[in-house]
Amino acid sequence: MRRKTALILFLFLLACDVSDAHRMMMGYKVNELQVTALYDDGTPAQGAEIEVQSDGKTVAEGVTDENGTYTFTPDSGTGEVTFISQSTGHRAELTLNLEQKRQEDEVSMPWRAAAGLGYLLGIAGLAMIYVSRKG
Amino acid sequence: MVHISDGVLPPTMLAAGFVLTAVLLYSSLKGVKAEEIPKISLITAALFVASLVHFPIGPTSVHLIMNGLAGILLGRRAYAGVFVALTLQAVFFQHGGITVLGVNTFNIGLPALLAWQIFEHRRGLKTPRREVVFGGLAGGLAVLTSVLMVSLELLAMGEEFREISILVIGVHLPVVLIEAVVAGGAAGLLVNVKPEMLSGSRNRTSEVH
Repeated sequence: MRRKTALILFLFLLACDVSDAHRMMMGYKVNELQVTALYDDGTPAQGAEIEVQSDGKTVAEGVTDENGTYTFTPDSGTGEVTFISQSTGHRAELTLNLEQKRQEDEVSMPWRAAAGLGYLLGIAGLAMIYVSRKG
Repeated sequence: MVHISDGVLPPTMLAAGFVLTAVLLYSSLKGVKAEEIPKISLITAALFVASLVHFPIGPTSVHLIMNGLAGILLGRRAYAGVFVALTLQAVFFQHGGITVLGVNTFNIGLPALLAWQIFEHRRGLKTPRREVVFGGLAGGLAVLTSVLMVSLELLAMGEEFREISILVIGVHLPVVLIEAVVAGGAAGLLVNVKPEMLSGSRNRTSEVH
């Protein structure tokens, strides 16, 4: 009976998501992107041709408005996009990554858990060495 | 939700938390012997990783706390174990935070001491299953007390937290049940297999002699 309860509990704990700690994070996704074409003195480039490329293919084309802006709505799953603006001999490129993201940690969760346990193991080990030296 | 994050509570509350934790840490570690440290480290490791076991309930996500079990196994040393476990959680998991360490240790550590006191009363019950009964009671009530303390603190922060506070108590009832089962089962198993692991067992052997 006790073994059965322990097994059920073990299976339940396995079913739980242990991949991450219980910390609140934020994710983001770009649904609409506004790019601005401008000259280096700040003048907006009106009527500049904008070409949007993704994976080497042109996915959208358009012209900037009177403020030099062009609005692009990416399809879901769009990764890296390159905006190319051209107007009377001027040309500029801007590459962005639009993949859906969330805040990332530098070190993965199992390693961080192992690091914490390592400290505790170290403390326990030092105490055991002290006890054995004393005795 | 049992761990309050940085930037939620006002500085006066944070300071009060550190003062209370300093006092309780002193009494928790008074007269500690090097021989006890490996056992404290082991239970602290369990507390440290307990928060990784989490599951979604309703609109939020809850995790195990294990403060009741720590109280049953460590007695008054449990407060120190909770403090170390929460420090490591704050550093490695960004779970809770350093400025709230005093308050969070108080919220989780004081119920651990309560669990120890409840478990000490098991000798009043004359059945062979008293460890299971009192272990379960201690494990469940420790979580419930932690959740109530956090809710009261958030309530004191202002009206807008009221709904959240009630929600927190509701969604933690499954955790209360799970931890009651775990603590009761562990106490029942240890009293047969390794009774010296339970807190206060030394007093009992001296009673027998």
